Amino acid sequence: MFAEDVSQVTHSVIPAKTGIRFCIITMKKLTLISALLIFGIIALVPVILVTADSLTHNGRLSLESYKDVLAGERQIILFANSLTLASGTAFFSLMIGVPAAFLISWTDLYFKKCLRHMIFIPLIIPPHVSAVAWIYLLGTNGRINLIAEKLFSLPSPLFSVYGTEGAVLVLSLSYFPIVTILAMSGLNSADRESEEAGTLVSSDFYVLRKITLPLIMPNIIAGAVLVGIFSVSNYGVPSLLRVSTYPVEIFVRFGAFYDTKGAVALSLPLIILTFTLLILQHRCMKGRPYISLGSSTKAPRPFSLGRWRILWTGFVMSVILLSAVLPVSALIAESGSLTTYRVAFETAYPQIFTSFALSVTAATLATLLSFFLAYISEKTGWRGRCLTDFLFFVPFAIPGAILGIGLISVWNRPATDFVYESAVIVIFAYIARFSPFAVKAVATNLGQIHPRLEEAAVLSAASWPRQVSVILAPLTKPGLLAGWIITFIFSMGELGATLLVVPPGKTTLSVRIYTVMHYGAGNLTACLCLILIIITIIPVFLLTYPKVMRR
Amino acid sequence: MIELRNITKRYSGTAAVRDVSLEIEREESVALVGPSGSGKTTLLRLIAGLESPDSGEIFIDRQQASVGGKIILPPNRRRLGMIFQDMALWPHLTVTENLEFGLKSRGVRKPERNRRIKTVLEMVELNGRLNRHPHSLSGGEKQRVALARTIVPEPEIMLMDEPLSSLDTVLKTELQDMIIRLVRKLRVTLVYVTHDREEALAMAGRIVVMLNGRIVQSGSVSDLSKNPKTEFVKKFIRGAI
Repeated sequence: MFAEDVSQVTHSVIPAKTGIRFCIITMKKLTLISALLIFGIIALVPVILVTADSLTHNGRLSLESYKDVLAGERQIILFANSLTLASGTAFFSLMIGVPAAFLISWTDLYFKKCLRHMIFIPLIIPPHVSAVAWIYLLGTNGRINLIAEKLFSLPSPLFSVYGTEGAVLVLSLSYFPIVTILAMSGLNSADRESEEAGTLVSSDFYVLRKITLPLIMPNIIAGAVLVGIFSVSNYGVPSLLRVSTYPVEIFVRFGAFYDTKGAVALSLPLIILTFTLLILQHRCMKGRPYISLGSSTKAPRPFSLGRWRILWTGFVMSVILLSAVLPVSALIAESGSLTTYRVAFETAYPQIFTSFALSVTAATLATLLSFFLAYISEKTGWRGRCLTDFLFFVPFAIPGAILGIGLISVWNRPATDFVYESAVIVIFAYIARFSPFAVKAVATNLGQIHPRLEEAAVLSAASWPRQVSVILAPLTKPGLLAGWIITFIFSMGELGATLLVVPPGKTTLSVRIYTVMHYGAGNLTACLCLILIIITIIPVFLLTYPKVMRR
Repeated sequence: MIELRNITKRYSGTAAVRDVSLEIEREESVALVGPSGSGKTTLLRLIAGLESPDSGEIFIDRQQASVGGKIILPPNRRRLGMIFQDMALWPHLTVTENLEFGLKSRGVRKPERNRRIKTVLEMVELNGRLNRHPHSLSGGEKQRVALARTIVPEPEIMLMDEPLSSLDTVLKTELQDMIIRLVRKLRVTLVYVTHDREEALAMAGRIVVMLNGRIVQSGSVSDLSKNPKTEFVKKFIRGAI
């Protein structure tokens, strides 16, 4: 019966039309090229435009704008401060992040399951919120200082959070989980067998030092470099802690004098620094996975910590205490009574809503875009796709304020006012700054999908939309989810670019916190900070909850 | 009918397939044999249209399918099915969904889809596993699903890339028999890649021996054993490799 069917169909073979094939292929190419174009317009054009603009003077190519700003003494201070911030934060993030990654993924730590989730809480607290909390703790009238003054009857505050040291402290405690994530991904993908081969002949500690550490070294370096870039391009923390860095200076120049060319020219050394770091980072990772998705098939044999078990558990717990529990407690203590929360909600609910809506939209669009961008870098044989990998990170390596200036100069025209005067420009800023991370998350996942699965779909006569929606996207779900969460979290806390591009009446909660902090309304600021943390946690928790429960 | 004319395919400079010409008649069963790296799989992927040849031409049913550097007839219009070495079942879809995918892509309606899936599952003797995901199936069951997925859209040509290499001897013989039965029943053209002599002899009417990207000799088992052109063919057909 079946054979008859086959022979019937055989006779009615439709002759191939090249036209149809043309359609199928262009449809795929079309989506991929439009993804590249959209990314180019949103993220790269602003950067190119401001750079080009800074190189012209009265319509001619000139280095006029660079002459004044590059030579000054100010430049030395800025560069020195940036270097200190980058290296200091990177150093402390390594000191905390690497041991934490190792202890959590490979040892018999107490409360391991709980601690492995807690360690990532600092990522959810935006750095400038953390800075606010630390001002409440170690500022001139900070709680810890007041207690110390009373106890030892000191004439002046014991610690000061203001200055470079304070900024390094706050930034390290905010960013060390990035190192932890990368190191953990290295540990999960490292070849367990070479290690086990090592343990047969020598002690655990020796293996750790001589085999494991070198294996995950690229991940560790990449993590440290990312933290360095994050710290020098952060605006909120140095601004609140009164450290002169490039982002702060750029903001002053643009905000106070509308000196676009000067602002860009000024930040040239920073851009060179971050690009050097970015290339270094890129070299280190070379196709290694950035995050580990799902459980590894190899069940790791936990290293026994022996009598050090309590000590190391204490270490991880104090890291969590310092980076999450203490800042949040300071905010709770400062926020005072419940009435403050009511007032905070009543006055700030438009910002709460705006922040949430903008971040959700940006995260969703960025994740969608990043799927196709990741597809280009992982699944096509296109020439120059190695370059795209680097290109995606360009808008991230540019200070948020410069990107903001770029976005304004692109969209502030009569024809495109609908972007400039609406929240769309803020969404663009978020997509430009944070989609690289979503691309990385998705690319890691896409790279693990065997090409045969896609080829099988092609052979099954599936159209490109069907290949994507039924086969590829569902298989990339963990990566898409991770990308969405990363973009969402960063968008909720974004400050540097938002401050410049946000249209009147569309202020975000992050911006509101920053401005309120400047006017010094203590308990209201604390309340808003807590609200920001809570509304960031809710969707992240909802999205990861089923996974957490399964483990 | 499949016709390859002077096909060459290079991967970053090194030729995987060199100047290969081959004709495969309708309903013929051909085994491509040779050591690993001899270009068998590449040749199969070229026939499928998953790769384009650097030079040469491929005709399917007298229709130009690929020509130097270009794919004229895309894989989905070649009326062929392929079983990959690692089966490539979609892990997130159930058995039914795996089978349904190709039918839906071709716009086959629901009642017809159900009818075909039922028939095919009977053919591969796989019932009651409809709502399982691939990871919960045994190796043999996965193989049957892969086979079912390939035949359900009713292809004219079946390409198989060492489909039985991951199975133990007992299962191997069982599935080998099933494939032979199905190929005869459905009257499809079979191109079967293997490095296993027994499999090749059992499956195919004609054996094409490949070495270093070239076809060394092509013919029936008796041809090859009577007049082996090279020492390699002689050794292979006697089972010394």
